[in-house]
Amino acid sequence: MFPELSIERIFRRELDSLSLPDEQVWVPTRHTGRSRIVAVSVVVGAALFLVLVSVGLIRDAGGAGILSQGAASPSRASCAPPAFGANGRCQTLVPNLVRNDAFGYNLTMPGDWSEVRMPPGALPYVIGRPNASPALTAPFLLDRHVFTARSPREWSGAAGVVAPAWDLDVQVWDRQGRTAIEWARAFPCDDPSVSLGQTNCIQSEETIRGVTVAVTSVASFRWHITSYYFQRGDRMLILRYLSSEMVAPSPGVTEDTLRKIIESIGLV
Amino acid sequence: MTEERWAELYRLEFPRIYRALLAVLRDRERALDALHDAFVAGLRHPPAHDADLAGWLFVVAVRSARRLRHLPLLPLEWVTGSSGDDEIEAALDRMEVGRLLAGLTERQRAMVVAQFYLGLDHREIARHFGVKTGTVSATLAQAKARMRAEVRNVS
Repeated sequence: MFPELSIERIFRRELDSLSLPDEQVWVPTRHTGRSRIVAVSVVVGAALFLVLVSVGLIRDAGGAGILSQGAASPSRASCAPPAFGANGRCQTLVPNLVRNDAFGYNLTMPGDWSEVRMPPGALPYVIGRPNASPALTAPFLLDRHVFTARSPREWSGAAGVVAPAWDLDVQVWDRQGRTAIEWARAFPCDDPSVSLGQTNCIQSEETIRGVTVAVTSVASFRWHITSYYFQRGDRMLILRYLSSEMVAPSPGVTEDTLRKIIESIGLV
Repeated sequence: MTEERWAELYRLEFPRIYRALLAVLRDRERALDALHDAFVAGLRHPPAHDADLAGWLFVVAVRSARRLRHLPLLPLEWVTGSSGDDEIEAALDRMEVGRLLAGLTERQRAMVVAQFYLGLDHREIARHFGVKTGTVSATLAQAKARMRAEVRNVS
């Protein structure tokens, strides 16, 4: 006879030891865990404010000043992220200018964004894709930076080809004589898995700061990858972000935030 | 039931149902996806009674996972760098329960987990899965026979 009572106990004991995902993703809405995130943001923001006040306002890359927003606000809760309450007012960090002199571009980031180091081995190489041309392999990647609005405590880099959701991935590649459209097709549009069923890739063109860029948007089940391809001489500058309803963004971060960062680009 | 009440009940049940789904699906992404689908389904048409919640969520999620399996998802390696959930597989393989369940079909696993982990009886399982009680009994009997054989093989 199968020992049912004891097996029930074993089931509970063993399965209860399986780890749970972060509480932020338990309930699939963007409001999930928000109160906790807002509370942390307010504390971090207040601490940051005190530090910044004590060392003076620093601007430009690597630092941030404080910009008062609107009228005095008596309640911290009424500050819409990324603003935070301090001294009875809603405050936001002034934007940072990120300059990449070596590869000839700059971007304006919201003040609470910073660069993060991707985990070892997490490189955007797409090897072995049958239609991948140009090659998306090691010798051709010249530079890569990933930016996030998450705090170091909240950020954990994925080890995959794309940067974590709601982060901005900026890559510079050797163009290998290919056009922006060909790059767009190389990845992710012509990846075999993308052309299947309900997953699809929409290609378009946009003019950003007078430059025509190829834009691709891969929409799959709950994941969207948007990529901008800037053809610059013998280089290809790619700005890419992943958005997903499965991953809660930092307070105040939306696709519009990411688009505005991309549209702030200055090309030298 | 208000949205707030539903979210509160769902939150309370989440750990148990998520772990039950891990045992059945052996994949965190699928388990979370499926459970989120069940949450959304409950927002539209919540179960009649709170007492049914665990079984209801579990079965709706299991059904959703079956549907999701046939939908094209973004390749997992794009996001995580790996194409499978090796970590959860390894965790389950270290467990006695995980090894026993590994030899069952997904449907058998779902019913076994519903009985032994969620504590549903045959009638409740039948109602939630939309099958006859006899079908549940037969499925569980086959599953138990397989698990017994597995235990004998190991010992």
